[in-house]
Amino acid sequence: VAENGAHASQLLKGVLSIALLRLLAERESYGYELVTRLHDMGLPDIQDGSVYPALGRLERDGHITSRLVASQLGPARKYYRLSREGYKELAETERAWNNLVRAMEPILSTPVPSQPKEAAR
Amino acid sequence: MSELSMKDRARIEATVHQIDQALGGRVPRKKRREIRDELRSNLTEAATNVGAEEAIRQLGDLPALISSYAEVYRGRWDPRTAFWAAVITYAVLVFLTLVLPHWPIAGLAIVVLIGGILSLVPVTFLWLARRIARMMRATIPAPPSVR
Repeated sequence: VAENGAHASQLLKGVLSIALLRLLAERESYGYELVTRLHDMGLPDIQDGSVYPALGRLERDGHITSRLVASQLGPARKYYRLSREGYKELAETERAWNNLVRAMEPILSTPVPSQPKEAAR
Repeated sequence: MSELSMKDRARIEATVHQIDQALGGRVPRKKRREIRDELRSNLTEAATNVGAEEAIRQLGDLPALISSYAEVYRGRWDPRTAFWAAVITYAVLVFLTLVLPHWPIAGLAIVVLIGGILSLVPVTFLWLARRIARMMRATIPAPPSVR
């Protein structure tokens, strides 16, 4: 189970920014809320420590913007939302993701033979 | 959601402080403050839901988190490198002023003054060092080509 988790974690790292852009396209959100939303959507292996720097990277690259909002629970929250560049980036990465899924689907859908075929001499 | 105890708050502060200290010299101060505030806010809310210990555990591998922050927010040059380069230069310049007693006093004063200014502005020093290196390369004749 731990090994499956490690594999899933490596795969998730690659798609984390797409997931974050998609969630922020739906509504303005802050770091911890995004983590819980990802967990609720069936991605419980995503750790808070990978989401927060990913948000920083998206903000640095101009794909999202942020603002501080006072919170009754404690310190002010940093809310993120998509920028105009972010919407473009989301459209492009969604297109790339769909192409990748289409390409991988036939590769992974065929049953794995018990023995690989030997090369013809 | 539950109210956080002093112990939980102290744990959160200790974690935030640990991350902040590790980012010292690698991330600009303003960004460090932003990271600190955001981490404190997120950890506080996570701790009210799952407890401080679990909230900190959910951050995952702290060295990996620190490296990610450093990679995201690193400036054009690493301040630590420039800082030490400036300190060494200043030490060399001071040393030169002490071991070259035949220099006129005015010359020494200028060297010390320039050294002080350059060490305060590391970027200027790096720029000057590159210029000097380029000048030295230009003055050294190229080796004869081997046939």
